Amino acid sequence: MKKNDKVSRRMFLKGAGGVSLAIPFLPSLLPRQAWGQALTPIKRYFSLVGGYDYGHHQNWFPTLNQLSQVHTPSNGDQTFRYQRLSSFLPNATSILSPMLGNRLNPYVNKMNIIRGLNLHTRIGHGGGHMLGNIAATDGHDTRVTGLKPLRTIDQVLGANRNFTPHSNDPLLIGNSAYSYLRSAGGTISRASSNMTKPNNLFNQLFVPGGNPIPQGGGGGTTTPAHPRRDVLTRVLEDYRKIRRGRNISSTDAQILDNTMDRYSDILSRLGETTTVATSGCSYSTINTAQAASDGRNSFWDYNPESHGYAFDMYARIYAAAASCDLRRVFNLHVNIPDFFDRNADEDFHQGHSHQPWATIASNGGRINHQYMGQIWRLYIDTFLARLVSELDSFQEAAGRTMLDNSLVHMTLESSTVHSDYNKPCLLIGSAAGALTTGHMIDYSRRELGPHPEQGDNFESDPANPRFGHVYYGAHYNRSLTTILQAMGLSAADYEDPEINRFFQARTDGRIGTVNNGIARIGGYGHIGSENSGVWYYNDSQLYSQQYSRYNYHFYKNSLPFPPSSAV
Amino acid sequence: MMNRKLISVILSFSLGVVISSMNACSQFIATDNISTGVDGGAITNPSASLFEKTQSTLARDCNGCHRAGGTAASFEFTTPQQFITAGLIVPGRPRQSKLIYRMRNFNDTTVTTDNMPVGGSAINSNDYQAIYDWIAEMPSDQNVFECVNDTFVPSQVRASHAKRISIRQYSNSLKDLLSMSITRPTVVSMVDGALNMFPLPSDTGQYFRRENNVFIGAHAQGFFDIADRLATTVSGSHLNDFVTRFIQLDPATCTSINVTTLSTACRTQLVRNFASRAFRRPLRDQAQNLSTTTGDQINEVADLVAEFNGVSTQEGVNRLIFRVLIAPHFSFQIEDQNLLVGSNLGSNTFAISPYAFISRLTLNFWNSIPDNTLWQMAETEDFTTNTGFNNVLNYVLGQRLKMDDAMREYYYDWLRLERTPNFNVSPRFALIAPNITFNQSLRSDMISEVEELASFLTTSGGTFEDLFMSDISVARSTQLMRVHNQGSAAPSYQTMTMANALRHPAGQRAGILTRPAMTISGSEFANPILRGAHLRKDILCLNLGAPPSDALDTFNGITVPNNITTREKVGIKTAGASCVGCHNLLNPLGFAFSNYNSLGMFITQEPVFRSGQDVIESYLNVNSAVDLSPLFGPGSTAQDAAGLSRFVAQQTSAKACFAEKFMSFSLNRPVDREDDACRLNRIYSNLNSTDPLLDMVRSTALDMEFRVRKLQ
Repeated sequence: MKKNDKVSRRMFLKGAGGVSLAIPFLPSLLPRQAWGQALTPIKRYFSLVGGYDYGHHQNWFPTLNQLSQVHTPSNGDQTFRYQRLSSFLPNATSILSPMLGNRLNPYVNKMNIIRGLNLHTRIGHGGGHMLGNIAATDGHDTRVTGLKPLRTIDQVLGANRNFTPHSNDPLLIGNSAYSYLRSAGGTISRASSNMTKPNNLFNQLFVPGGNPIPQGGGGGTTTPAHPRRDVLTRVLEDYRKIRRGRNISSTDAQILDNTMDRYSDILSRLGETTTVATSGCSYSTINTAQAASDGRNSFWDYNPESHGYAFDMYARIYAAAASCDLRRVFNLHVNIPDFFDRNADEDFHQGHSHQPWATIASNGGRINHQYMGQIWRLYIDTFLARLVSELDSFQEAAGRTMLDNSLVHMTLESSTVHSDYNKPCLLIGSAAGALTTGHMIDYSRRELGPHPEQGDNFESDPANPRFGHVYYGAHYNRSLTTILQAMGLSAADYEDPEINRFFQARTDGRIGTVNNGIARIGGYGHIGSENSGVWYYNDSQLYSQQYSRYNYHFYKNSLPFPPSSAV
Repeated sequence: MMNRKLISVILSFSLGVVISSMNACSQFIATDNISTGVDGGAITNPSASLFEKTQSTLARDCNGCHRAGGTAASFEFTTPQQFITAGLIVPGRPRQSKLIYRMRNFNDTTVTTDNMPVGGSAINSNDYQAIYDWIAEMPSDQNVFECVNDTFVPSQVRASHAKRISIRQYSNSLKDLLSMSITRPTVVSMVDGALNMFPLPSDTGQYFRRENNVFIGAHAQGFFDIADRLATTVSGSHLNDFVTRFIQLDPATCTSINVTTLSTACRTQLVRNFASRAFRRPLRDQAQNLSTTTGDQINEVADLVAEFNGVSTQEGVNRLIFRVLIAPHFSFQIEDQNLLVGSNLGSNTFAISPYAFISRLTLNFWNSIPDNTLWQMAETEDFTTNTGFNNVLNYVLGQRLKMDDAMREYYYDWLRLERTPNFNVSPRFALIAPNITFNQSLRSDMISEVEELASFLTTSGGTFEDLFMSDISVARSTQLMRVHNQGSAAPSYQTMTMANALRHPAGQRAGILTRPAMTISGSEFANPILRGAHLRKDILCLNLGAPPSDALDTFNGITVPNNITTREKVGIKTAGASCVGCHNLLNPLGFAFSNYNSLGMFITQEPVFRSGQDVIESYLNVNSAVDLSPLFGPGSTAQDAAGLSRFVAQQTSAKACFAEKFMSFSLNRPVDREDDACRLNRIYSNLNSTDPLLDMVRSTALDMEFRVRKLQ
């Protein structure tokens, strides 16, 4: 992709029903710190976090085979395997995996897909562990009840004034909030999610209080759009209405989708009506009348097509807001909406996620675990790929793009059904070089044999091989620690000495055998339950066996990554 | 799954003669009776051996019981007819033949369920296949496609999907649409100019170009640019005509047209009349109270009228035309929303609305949009009655000139006219035809001649046999007339009738096979092998084996005298043991055209060129008499191409081939010989010397699949 140069740095936003936004990137908008980005690049954190699971490991990972390269860290941390992501893409149209698709292909050298991350206790349903608050469960599994609530990492970053100057960080859009904040009094509470329409979000960010930013700008120039732009936008809406028609078959829909993509490509080349102010960010006039006439109160309530359309816009707005440094922490949290439910007898949870091997007749004959992957593909295609594309189009200092200086993080509540093993972790960007990129990394320790809990044998069948491919690996929370450290935070910024005491200085039980002598666990978040010690002592218990497999001396460290010389 | 080995033949040119050597071609003869044609047995002459093999198998495995004095009826027959008379076989219909289904226990309530031979081992598959093939290859003209149950079964209807209209349909639709307001020559010039300036990707369906349904970026860009140009031109130079004439199609409440300040009522009627004609259906408006699955109200009228808000009439018209011409319902055939009428016939299959039906009819048979007459008929005719239905169908099929484009397209694709050779002009051309300029223009005229003749015959009362026998001339260009040695031009296509059509001299031209485009080689040497291969493969749908890899070397290595005819040269060069087996089945088809030289001219003598020089040394009489026994049965002969053409027109394989191709063309999908057997039979039944070809076309539209849509 051609990088925006200093003269034409511009972020385009497209809205529904004719909303069209354009946001040129102007260096003068940035705080002085940003001007000196060659010395101190601005880092930004973007999360895409989802409820439910990815259906099947093969939906998510490029391969389930053992990776080709081996690395043993010099500090004694665990040996791991890795392999270039590009090696999984034999041609331009190859997909990384059914979920990851091929829209991220141009950025594989800036990505890491991490495997072998496990939580060390079963939590069933959880709404906070994805970003670090394992205590936020619905009580589905009592082993994690009673743990001390914690801020999630987005809130840790948002509250850190060395990381962001904006007191209103983080930004959170979603139909669910997997973010937990800490009040001044120390109380942990769930953050409020915001399902605002994209054009309203744009106004919140760029026209606060009805006053376009930057305040006090004047003069400027207007570049008119191509004369056919507005009509073509309406033609695309015509296509969308037909696409949403009542007698449209799935094949019809595919044909129309393809056609819309082709016309969208043309539309993107027609340019925007852009007003460039003399200072600060600038943007085109929003066609609020058109936006208001689209009849939707919320994009979250409608079908996948309009849903995805909105996510594309969110991605553009996020990138634009990042470019103007309006925020540095951005969340998009998604609990799969009910309109994806194709099971007439059950809700989505019971009818799809919990029946991974069932074929739902009204679901086009698809197997549920494949369907889960298809759903997440929508968010990756429409939001994540767009966001990454936009971020990478902004050239910042030292030959790095805004994507390079950021971390885009995707994870889900579970991997398969309720499983907390092989939890997904996708990181895009290097946090200004803090992480090496371009690899699939696998912390699985195959030499120990398959994990006794093969990916949450939901049907209580320990021998069920269908979800296999689960091994002992690394603690999932280390991925969160890795993010915090890559963003420049120090241990003091996020460690909580009141937690994980149960695991410190133990010499007894299986855990003591391996972890004898740890005076301070450190790191971010709970290792696991501290209120049900029986789970960790009794040799007959799964978790006791499990804890004997992990060396928590390195819990406080970032995950080891491939060396910079890795190929 | 039936064995359908379609082997392409490799044809190579050498010293002006094409060779095509088929190695052990019998191994490529399909066992499927349709793909080989019922003539297949005669062509390879395997029936005798298959019958002998059948007799041998029956003697070994069956006659223990089925013999005179045995425990079951005797099979000790000595002729095929005895098997027919005994009701054991139905010629050409193995699956309906008792001899077969008793061995494989096909459904039959009149017999026991025991497989034959009772108590013995099943007949081995090779022997079974030989008996099957023997029956399959027997000539039959009844139930050619083995229709088992000719009732409409909704569950068997194929789901149909949105389809991009073909480029040909797109071009015609633009012309017919805009011609409703602007003079046709102006529109044709305008549209052709836009299409030339912004070329669209060619349609390249597997067999028929219109099957191509892909939509790539080049389509989007082309449609965008063409719509942009036409909208600008029409609104800029033809504003008054466009506005007034479209409104006048149905003024409704627009009682006074002031183009400069167009009233809301007039804007509404302009939008309704223009866009509905483009979309091939009425616009959806507020009164219909339609909504999408997401609850969005559908009001196309309001959406399009809004294009006039705040802008001049000219700009509003500009926007309207642009938006309509790249709208989904113009460039795609989408049968959705209120286009479906009636209750579910079962399996999610619905009758389509009158508008969807006329849209299907005109896109298929006119390559364009419905005209105003059809529009009125859709509003007034009762499509639920046969009378109303047939009124519409008769009108569509009765518009010969509108039918022409689609029929030309069909015949171009069916006859593979794109393979018509280019002229590799040499000095010898001038010696053969001194007054003719052989160039691309003439090649195009030759191709058009075949298209036009076939289209004319199809739409003007001609029969299937006429396609192969007609002496009508459609040559009008000077150069093509010279090829035909024709003194006057044929009447214009618009005025030509069966009665006033110009005829070629008796004995010179018989149907499409004898026209120059079908006989030219591109060089000064005629090409009997290419002619035979084309006829065998594309017209008769009979398989061809691939020539051995050394065929060309073998061919070139055989020295032949210079002073003999092309036919004789080819005969010598293909007489080798490795060639003759297949060329015996191929050469006669080409030799019958010896009265046409390599440039498509009728001749009785062919020149002999002095070796290495551009000098005609002598002339030799040509011989077009052929023995067709190996192909069409004992005693079959033809004196010339006309005789051969008549044989072809009567062949089951040729008619079956045509039926399959036309059905595929009219339904825009591949044909399945088993699933589509009944409808193929209906098409087939119209292919003879008495029924107009138009009845064949009609039969495709009368088919229920043409009148319903199955939702996926």
